[in-house]
Amino acid sequence: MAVIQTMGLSKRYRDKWAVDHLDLQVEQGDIYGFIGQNGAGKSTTLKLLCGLVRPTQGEAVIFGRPIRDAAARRRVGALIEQPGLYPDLSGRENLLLYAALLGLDSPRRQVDEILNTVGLPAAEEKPVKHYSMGMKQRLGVGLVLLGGPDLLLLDEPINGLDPEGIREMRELLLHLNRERGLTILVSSHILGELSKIATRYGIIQQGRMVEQITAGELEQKCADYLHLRADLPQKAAALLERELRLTRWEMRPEGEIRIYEAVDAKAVGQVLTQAGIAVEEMSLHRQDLEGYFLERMGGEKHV
Amino acid sequence: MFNLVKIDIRRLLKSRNFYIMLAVTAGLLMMLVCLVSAIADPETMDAMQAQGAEVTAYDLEMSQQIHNMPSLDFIHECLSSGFLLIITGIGMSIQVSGDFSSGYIKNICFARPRRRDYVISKILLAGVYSAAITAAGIVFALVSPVFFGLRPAASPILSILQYAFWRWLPSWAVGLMALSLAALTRSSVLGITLSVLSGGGVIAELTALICQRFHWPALEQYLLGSLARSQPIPLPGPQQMAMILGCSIGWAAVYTIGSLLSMEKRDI
Repeated sequence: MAVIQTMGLSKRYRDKWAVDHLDLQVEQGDIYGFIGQNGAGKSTTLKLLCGLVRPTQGEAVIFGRPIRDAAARRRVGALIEQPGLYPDLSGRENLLLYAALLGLDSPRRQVDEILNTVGLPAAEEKPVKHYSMGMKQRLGVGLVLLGGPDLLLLDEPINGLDPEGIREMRELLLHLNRERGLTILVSSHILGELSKIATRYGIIQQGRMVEQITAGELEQKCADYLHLRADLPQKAAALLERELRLTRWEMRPEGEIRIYEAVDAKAVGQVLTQAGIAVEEMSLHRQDLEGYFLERMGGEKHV
Repeated sequence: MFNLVKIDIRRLLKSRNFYIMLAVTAGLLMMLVCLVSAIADPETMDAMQAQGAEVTAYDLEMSQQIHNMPSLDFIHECLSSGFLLIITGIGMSIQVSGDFSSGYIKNICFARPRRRDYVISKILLAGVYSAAITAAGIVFALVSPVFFGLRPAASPILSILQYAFWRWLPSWAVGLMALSLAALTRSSVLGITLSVLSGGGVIAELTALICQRFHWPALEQYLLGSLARSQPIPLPGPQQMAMILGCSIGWAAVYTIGSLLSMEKRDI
C-alpha cells in the first residue's frame, strides 16, 4: 500500500522549478531514503508533503487522502530542516506546547514517554538554546513522534551530529521502523548513513525524480561487473552473449559493456580476439552505493 | 483554534520577554513617579530655593495640584505619553517573530493548516498582551505614589476600569500592527521600530507636517499614536470615544487583513 504518492507534484519559485513534476511513491513500512544534491528540491518536496508550501501543479496523497485532509495529517509527523523549538523554553515545555496544539489526552504522560524514547531526561529544565545539536535533533524527532504518527517525514535529521549522535539517530529510526512499524521518509546527503537504514531510495535532481529503487535492486546494480571497451562494441556484445551465454550484461550509451555475471576475463579476451575485435580496456569493477548515486545524479559533484 | 490560543497564552506566561516588558513598565513608571514626587515635595522646593533656584507661584501651584490630584488623573498623567503602545508593540513583535525565528511556525502550520486560525489566535494574544501591559501600567501608577510619599485621592473603580478600556483599545491595535509586520517580514525589527515611532508620536508629527504642507485635513488625529497621546482628560467624551473606537477598530481591521494576506500568500 502506498503511504505517500505524488503525481506530477511541482513547485515553481519565480522562473525556477524547485520541484518539477515529481512522481514519488513510498510504501508502507519503508525507510525511504530521499537523496539529492543541495538545492535539488528535497526540502521543498517535504514542505509540499506537509502542506507548508502550496504546489504550483500536481498533487500529493498521504494514506490515500489529500495532504490537507485533517485525518491523514494526524497520522504524519514532520521534521523539516531544523527542529522548530522555542529556544527559551525547556525541551519538555516545547513538547507540552506541541501536545497542547495537537489536543492530546494526558499530554504529560505522553511527553515523558517520548522523552524516554528519544533518550532525553524528562527532568531536564535547561532551555533548549543550551542543548547540544544532538539533543536538539533528538528533541525534534520527539516532537514529531507526539500523537503517535504512522509516517515520519524527516529532513536531514543527522545534519550537524557527531558520529555518536549519528549512530544514536540511526538506531532510533531503525527501532521506530522495526518495533513500531513506522514508515519513514528521510532525506539526507550523507549517503553512507542512509544506506545503512534505507529500504527504498528516491534520487532527485533539479527537482525531478531520477530514479526510485529498492535496496535489493540497488544491491544488485552495485554488484561486481566486468568493464569492457572494445572496437565495434555492438558486435562484441552480440558475440559474447552468444559464445559465453551471457544473460546479465548491459551496453552503456558511451559504448562501454558491463557484464554482471561471473565470467572468465581470459575467455572474454579470447573470444573477441579470435573474432578480430580489439579489446581497448578490460577490468573488474566494484561500484559502491555512493558511486552509483553520484553517477545517477550526473557526475562526481558534491552530494 | 482553542488549542492555538491555549499554547499562545501558555508560552506568553513562560516567556522571559513578557516579564521583562512588565518590569520595564514598572521601572519607567517608578522613575516617572519619583520625578513627580520630587517636583511636588515642599522640602525639595526649599532646597532648590536655598541653592538659588527661582521657585515661582506656578511651581507651588503645580506642587499643590499634584498633592490634591485624584488617582485617575494621576494615572492619566503617567500613562498619556504613549509608552504603553511602545511596550505592547515591542512585546508583540518579539512574541510573534519568535514563531518564525525559532521555526515553530512549521509545527503550528503543520498541525493547524488553516492559516487564519493562526492569525485569529494572535489577535486574541494581542488583546491579552495589551490588556496585561495596560493593567500593569495602571496598577503600578496606582501603587507607586505610595512609595514616594504621595497620596492621590481615590477614584471610583468603575472610572478606572473605563479608563483602562480606552487605553487598552489603541494598544491592542498596535499589537496587531506588530503582528502584521512580523507576519510580513518574519522578523521583529520593523515592528519594534514602528512601535517606537508610533508610540513616541514621531509618525503623527510627520503626518501632521505632510498634511500642513499639502493643505490636507489633519489626518494625524486618526493615527493610533495620536489617540493614545492626545487625550486631555482621563475619560474621553462621546465624540472622542467614537474616535478611539472607530480608529482602533479600523486600524485593527487593516492590520488583520494584512496579517491574513501575509500568512495566506507566503509559504512557510
